Amino acid sequence: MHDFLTRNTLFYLLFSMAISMALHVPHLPVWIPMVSAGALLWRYLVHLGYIKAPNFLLKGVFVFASCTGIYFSYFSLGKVQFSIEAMIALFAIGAALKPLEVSAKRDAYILVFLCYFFTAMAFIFDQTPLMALLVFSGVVFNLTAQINLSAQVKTKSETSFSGKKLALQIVAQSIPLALILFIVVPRVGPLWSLNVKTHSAKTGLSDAMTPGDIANLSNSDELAFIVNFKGEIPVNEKLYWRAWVLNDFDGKTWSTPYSRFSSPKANWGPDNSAPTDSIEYQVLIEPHDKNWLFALDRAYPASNDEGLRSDFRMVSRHSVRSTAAYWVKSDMSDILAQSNMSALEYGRLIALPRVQKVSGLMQMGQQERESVLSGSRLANPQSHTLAMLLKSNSKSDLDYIEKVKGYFLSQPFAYTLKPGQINSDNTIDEFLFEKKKGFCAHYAGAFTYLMRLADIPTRIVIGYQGGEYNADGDYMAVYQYNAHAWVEVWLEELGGWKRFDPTSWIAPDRIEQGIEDALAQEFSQRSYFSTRNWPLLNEIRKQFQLVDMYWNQWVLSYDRKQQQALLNSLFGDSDWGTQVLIILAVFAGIVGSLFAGLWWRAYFKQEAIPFEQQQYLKMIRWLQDFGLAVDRTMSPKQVEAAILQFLGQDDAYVSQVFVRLNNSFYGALTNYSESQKKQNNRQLKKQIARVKRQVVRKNSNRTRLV
Amino acid sequence: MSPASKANPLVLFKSYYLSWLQKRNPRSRSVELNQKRIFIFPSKTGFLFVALLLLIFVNAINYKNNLLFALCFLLTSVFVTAILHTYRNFSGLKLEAGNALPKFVGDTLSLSVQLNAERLSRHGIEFGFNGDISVKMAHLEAREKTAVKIPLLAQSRGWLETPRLKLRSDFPLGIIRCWSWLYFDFKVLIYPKPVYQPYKYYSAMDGAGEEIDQGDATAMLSSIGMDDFRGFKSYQKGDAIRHIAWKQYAKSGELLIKEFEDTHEGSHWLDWRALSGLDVESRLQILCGWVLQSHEDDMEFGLKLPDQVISLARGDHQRDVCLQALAEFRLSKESSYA
Repeated sequence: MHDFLTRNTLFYLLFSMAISMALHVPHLPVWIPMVSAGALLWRYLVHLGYIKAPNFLLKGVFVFASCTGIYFSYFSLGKVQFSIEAMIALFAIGAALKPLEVSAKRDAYILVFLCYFFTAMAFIFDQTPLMALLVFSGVVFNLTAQINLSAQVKTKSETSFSGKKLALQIVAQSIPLALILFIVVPRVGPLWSLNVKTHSAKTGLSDAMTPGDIANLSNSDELAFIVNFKGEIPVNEKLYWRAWVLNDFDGKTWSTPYSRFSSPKANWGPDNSAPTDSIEYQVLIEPHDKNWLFALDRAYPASNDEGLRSDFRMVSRHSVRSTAAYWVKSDMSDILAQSNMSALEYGRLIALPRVQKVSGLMQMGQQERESVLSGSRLANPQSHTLAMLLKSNSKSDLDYIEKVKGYFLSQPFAYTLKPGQINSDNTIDEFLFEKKKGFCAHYAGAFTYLMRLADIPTRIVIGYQGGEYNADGDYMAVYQYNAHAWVEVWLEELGGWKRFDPTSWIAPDRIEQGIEDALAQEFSQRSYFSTRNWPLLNEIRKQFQLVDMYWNQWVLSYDRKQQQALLNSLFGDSDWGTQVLIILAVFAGIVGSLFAGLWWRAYFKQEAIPFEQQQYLKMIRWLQDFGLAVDRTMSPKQVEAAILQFLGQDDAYVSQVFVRLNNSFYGALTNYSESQKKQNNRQLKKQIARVKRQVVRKNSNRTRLV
Repeated sequence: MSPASKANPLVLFKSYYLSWLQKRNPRSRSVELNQKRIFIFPSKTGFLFVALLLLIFVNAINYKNNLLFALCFLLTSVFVTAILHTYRNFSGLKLEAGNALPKFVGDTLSLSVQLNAERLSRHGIEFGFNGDISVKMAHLEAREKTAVKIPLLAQSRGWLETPRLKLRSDFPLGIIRCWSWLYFDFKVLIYPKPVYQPYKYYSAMDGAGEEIDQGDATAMLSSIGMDDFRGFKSYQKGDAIRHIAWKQYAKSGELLIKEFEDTHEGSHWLDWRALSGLDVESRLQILCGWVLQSHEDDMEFGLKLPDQVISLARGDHQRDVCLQALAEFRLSKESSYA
């Protein structure tokens, strides 16, 4: 059976397919790459003529089986959501089976294009520099396959033309234009909103917190975001990156239903009312599929794409699906003064006791009241008793807080990531009076509960605390294990929300030095932290991270704002029309120079001189050096005569060389193969070198005689 | 303007287009491809590629994914670069019409085109007449020369009026297609299609147009060829039986061989007039068959056409002269390139 593809073309086709499939292995069910490998092998065997391509019926069976497989992998067992992974898997199985169907040139091109697209889709899941390298290498392979496909000629003796070099050349020639396009093509917002969820929940904060569950925070060393401070970097214990606020408590889980407290309305930036002593910084955020943004204390968004909710959370207009960057200013005075809503009422609301002060409650909606009070209604009898006791002994809210703090410090509380599970329904009591072991969620939860029992408005804030400073890049990297939960208490006398971090009472190191040090022992048991115990490895890790940072800053987060800023810095604050004109001019210049370059090579470069002629001219030059009366206009016969005269005798070898030269200039053209040509050239070079030696010897003899 | 072209604007357009092409690429023996002759446009595969670019672009926008943007722009840029490479693959290529041996109508001519790569290497160029791509050239290194043989069915006698030759290539990426129409002047003579029929002879004695059938052919031969008759010689083994003088044998019982002027074979005139009643082309076809048959039998033959007489001779040259005369018979001056 004769395949219409040459072996060379087929190799690159199948290899490209294999590469693009390999890039998706991490998020595909294992059977899809296996099917793909089988299909590639099958296609190769078809090429060799061992087996036939599957017929129509068999292909139908394959497609049906694959769809069934996708269904069971993604849509059964209650997983009804249509996720990106499912779409990619569907595409992957199509791409995997396509090689079996490649029986004409058009199919082969389609396969190449499928490979391009499939390879590109790897960027949806991973945007690291390494992945970029892999994907762009894959593209070069695709390009090679495409070139070979276009150039292939099926002859008896398959020509060994390989487009690899040309593919690299084309890519290199395409880079300048691609770069310009990357910089100037306007970045528009999403054409339609994608409500496609991804199965592999991105590691990161969740919008609810259940302290009783086993430790699931601090479990990843994945990067959350990077911060570039404009001025000095605040000390570690001031770095509380707010992300989300929790109000509701059902006895186990703290949460914030969207429909209730967090108003869907946000005050969109830019907000220029930041106090002058605010700090300014840029955050490069990793995609987390949510619209939360991270900022310190009271944030002042710098652009219209970010806004602030009434609980001072900073949000983005769209879910963050790719690395993004934003500038923000923060007032670090630690009090979140509530001025943009009826703060006092909001504060009172949260503080209202269960039954007695019903009158105050009436001013707010039923839902909100319940939401705030819910925590306090539940039975945690020991906590109630403790709260009553402490409250009756304290003069003010602040005093009560001090008393609660005193309780935490007087008891043998321990900070650990492995607190064990809490089993009883009275989760707060069990933690406060029995286990006494926990991490931030436990302390924040218990503290808030005690506050609310004393009618003090309190809420839990989750986000990140601290970060790792990279001195080389002068930035702060915040990882998932920096995730933290703390508390904000409404203090009437301060007129705002004040931050309290009960975890810091128990484990001051956690806040001052960072979680790695506070839990050095627990952390060292985690494999991914092992590098941190080795200074050199740690240094290398930091260097890689620096690359990552620049990558994030200049490549991944390049957006409309940065584009505008860059264009403005390049062309001044000129109007849009001028900028477009300049860009078009540059564009034309690049395309023009591309053309010019190609044509220069084709038409203006001197025609290469044949090898024999080159050698001949070279020989004439050194003969002249030896004082022979020869020049480049002389024929080989004349030059030969001159040499023989110089040598003073007839020399068969010299004559032989000149016969050869003469033949190559005036003789009939012979079509030598490349290897023959090379061999001939080598031979000629040797022969001429020997003639030279003879002349040199003669020359030295002569000089000696003189 | 014919009524047909008036009725159909497409036909009209095509004729304009062809005459424009002819003016742009005049008929010649050799040609260097330049911007005047090269046409370039995305191929169907190219449009598919553009669709791929759009697909990646939409994904890049929706996922706000800068790396997807980067990939999309790189491939866009590759598309532009491919235009240059495809053009360059054609530009500067020199072609020269080769010579071809005469053939008969109905045979497939193998027309040779000499290619000179000049300064650049050339890849994957396809050739064909009238747009029917039939030959693909593999690779031609810079400064190399090669010849491609392009098949063409010989359809009518006379000097070959070569249809337009199409060159096409979508190297290097298959997404941009470059093509060129060339009007090459191949000097090829096409002989009429030979039709083999029994000889018929024209007899002046029997009056114009009268035919003598094969039964009398031998007699005819001896009577017409009387001038060439030299005498008798005694039969020897190996002499042609049909030259035996049976009359003399009947008289004397001695086997004698009629000896003719030249060698051991006969000679005859192949006469246009012997085929009266048939149309011109049929007559030419039959005459062609006779010429070939006579040459095969190593006979001496002459050809009498209304406007030309080729005297008696034998051998390859005689055959070729006669066939050329048949091929060129009553061709209009314009269509003859001799």
